Amino acid sequence: MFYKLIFMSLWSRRTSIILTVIAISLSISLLFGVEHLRREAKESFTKTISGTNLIVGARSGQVNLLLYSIFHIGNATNNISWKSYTDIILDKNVEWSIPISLGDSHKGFRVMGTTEIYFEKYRYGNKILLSFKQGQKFKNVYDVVLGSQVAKELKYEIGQKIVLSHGIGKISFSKHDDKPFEVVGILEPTGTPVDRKVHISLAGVEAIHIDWQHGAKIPGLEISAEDALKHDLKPKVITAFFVGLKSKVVTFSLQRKINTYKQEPLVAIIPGLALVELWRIVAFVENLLVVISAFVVVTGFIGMITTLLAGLNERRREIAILRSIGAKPSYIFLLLMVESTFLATIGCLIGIINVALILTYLKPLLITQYGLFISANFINTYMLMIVGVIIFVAAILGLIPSIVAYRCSLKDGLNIRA
Amino acid sequence: MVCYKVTLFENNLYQNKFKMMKTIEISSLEFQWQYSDSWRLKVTDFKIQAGENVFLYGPSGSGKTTLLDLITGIHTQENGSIKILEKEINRLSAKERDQFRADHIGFIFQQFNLLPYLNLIDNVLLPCYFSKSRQQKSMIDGSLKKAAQELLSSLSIEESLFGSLASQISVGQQQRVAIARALIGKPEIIIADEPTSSLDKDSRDVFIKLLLKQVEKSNSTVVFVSHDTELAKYFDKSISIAELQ
Ligand SMILES: Nc1ncnc2c1ncn2[C@@H]1O[C@H](COP(=O)(O)OP(=O)(O)O)[C@@H](O)[C@H]1O
Ligand SMILES: [Mg+2]
Repeated sequence: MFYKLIFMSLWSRRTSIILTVIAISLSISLLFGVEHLRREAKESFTKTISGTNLIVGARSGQVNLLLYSIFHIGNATNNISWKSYTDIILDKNVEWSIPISLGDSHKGFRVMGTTEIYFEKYRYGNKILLSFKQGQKFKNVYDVVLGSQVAKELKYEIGQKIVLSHGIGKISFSKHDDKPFEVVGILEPTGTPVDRKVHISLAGVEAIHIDWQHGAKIPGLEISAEDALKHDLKPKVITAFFVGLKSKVVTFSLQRKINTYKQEPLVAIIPGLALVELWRIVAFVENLLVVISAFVVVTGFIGMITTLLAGLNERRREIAILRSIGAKPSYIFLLLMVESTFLATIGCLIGIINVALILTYLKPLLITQYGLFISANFINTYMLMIVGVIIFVAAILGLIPSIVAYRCSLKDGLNIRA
Repeated sequence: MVCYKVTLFENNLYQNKFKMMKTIEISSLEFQWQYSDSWRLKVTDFKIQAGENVFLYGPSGSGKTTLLDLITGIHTQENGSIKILEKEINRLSAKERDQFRADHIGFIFQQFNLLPYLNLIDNVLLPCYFSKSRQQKSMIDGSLKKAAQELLSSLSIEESLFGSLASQISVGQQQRVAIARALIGKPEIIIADEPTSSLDKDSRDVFIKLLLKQVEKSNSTVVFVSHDTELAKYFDKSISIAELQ
C-alpha cells in the first residue's frame, strides 16, 4: 500500500513529475558526459605515445610540437634539415630514432612520411608495438601503409591505388595524381591517431614533391613517377623526429644539448612533461565545465524540491486524511522521502542511459572529427560513487518537503484546508 | 476450573455493557494553542454513552475541530482528562495514539475526504491498511474487496463507479464514499466534522439518513459536528460547544 500510494500519487501528478525527472536526467547527463569526456580525452592523449623519450622539432612551443607531431593537430612552423637530424642521432645515447615528414593528406587523412623503423620502434598505450592486420611495411617508394580507420572508412584493400594531395585540407585542388601509391599494408586498430594516418616512406614524400617548390608545381617541369625514381630521393628536410634512448637517465642532458644546438634552432620535448603542460593549459576550461555541470545538477534538484514543495499545499489534505486513519507522522515523512529519492534515482538512471546512448552515437564522430578515442563504457566505480553521492544528496534535499509536510501534519491536525 | 473462569469473564463483559460503557468521557479539560493566549477551549464535563448519536454545534471558530483533534489524539492537552473507550488518551504515546485512532475511530471531513488518485474501493479500504483489527472485522468471506463493495452499494453508490478515481465522482458521492471508509471494520466511534457543509439540502438529508442507518448497523457511536443547528433533529442528543464550558 505504501508504494501504491507513492506511485498512484506520482502518477496523478505525472506532467510535473516527468518534467522534473527530465530536468534531473539532463543535468546528470551533462555532468557525466563532461566528466567522462574529460577523463577519456586525457586517457586517449596519454596512451597515444609511450617508449619515446624525446620528440624533436623546429623551435616552437612544446605543446605545439606535441600536438602536430603526435596528434596531427595544427602544423609545424618550420622544418628540420636532414643534416641536423643525422648529426643529432649520432649521439652515443640514442638507441633509435624515427624521422617524420608531414604536410600531405589523402581525403582528409594526414600523410606521414617516415622510415621502416617506425613500425619497429613506435610504441603506444602500455608500450605496445604497431602490428599489421594485412600486408606489411612499405618497401618501394610508392608503397603506402594505412591506419585501420583509414582503410575502414575508405573501404581500401591491399593493392588499392591511391592519390595523395598536397596540403592537409579535406578538399585539395593540388593532387599528386601523377604519382599514385599502392596500399601494401593495413595496421591493426590502436585507438590512437595512428589509426587515422597514411604512412609512406620518406623517399615517397621526396618523390611526389620532386617537381614542386614552395607548395606549388613548378610550371613546365613534369617528372613522371618512373623518372622520379631515377633521382636522388634522399630527404632534405623532415618535420620532426622521435628519439628512443639507451637509458632514461640521459634524457635531460640530451634535451639540453638539442635545445642549444648551434646549427639550427630546435626544441626537444619529453612527451609526458609536454602532456602535463597541455593539461595545465586546458585545466581551467576543464574545471569550468565541471563546475558548470555541477551547478546544472544542483539546479535540477532545486527544481525537484520546488515542484515537490509547490505540490505540498495540495497534499496537505492528503496528509490530513492519512493522519485521520492512523498514519503516523513518520509514515508521512517517509512517504515524501521515498518519493524524492525515487525521483532522483530515476533521474540519475535516465541520465546515465542518456550518456550511454549519446556516447555510442558520438564515438564515431569524435574519432573522425578529432581523432579522440572515447570508450562508450563510462560506468566505473568513480561514476557509481558520484551517483551514490547524488542520490544521497537528493535524499537529504528531499528532507525539506518531508519536514515541511511532517510539521504541517502535526500542526494542521484534521483541519482540512480547502 | 477453566469453565468457571470463562463464565466469570463473560459475566464481566455483560455487566460492562449493562452499565452502559462510556465511549467518550471528558472532564475539566483546558486547551490552548501554542503561541496564542487569546483563545482557549474549556470542557468541564462531557460524556457520550456507547451507541449514542450526538450532535455538537457551535459557530465557526468556536473550537469544534480543536475538540475533535483532542478526542482523537491528534493533539494533546496539558490539563484535564479525556477517556476514549475507557482509555486515557493522553497517557498513550504518540505512536499508540495513532494506532488507537486507526483501530477505533472513523472520520468524515467536510470535503476532500478521499485520496483523488485512488479508486473508490482502495479509498474505502485505506483504514484496513493501518489497522489489523479493522481489517479482520471487515472481511467478508475472506475478501476485503467484497466488504468495500457491499458497503458502497448500501450507500447507493453505483457499481460502475467502484473502479473510478475518487476525483471523478461528484461531491455528494464522495461524501457517501467517505461514510463507507469511516465505517469499514466497524470502528466504535465515527467522527464527522461538518460533513454536510459542501452539500445541497437534498443530498444533505440523504447523507445524514444513510450515515445514521449504517452507524446503527455497525453499533458505532457518532459525534456529528456542525454549525447548522437545523440538523439537530436527526440526533439522539444535541449539545452546544458553549454549554460544555
Ligand atoms: N493549528 C492551530 N494553531 C493555532 N491555532 C489554531 C490552530 N487550529 C485552529 N486554531 C484556532 O483555534 C480556534 C478554534 O478553531 P477550530 O477548532 O478550527 O474551530 P471550528 O472547528 O469550531 O471552526 C480558532 O481561533 C483557530 O484560529
Ligand atoms: Mg472546524
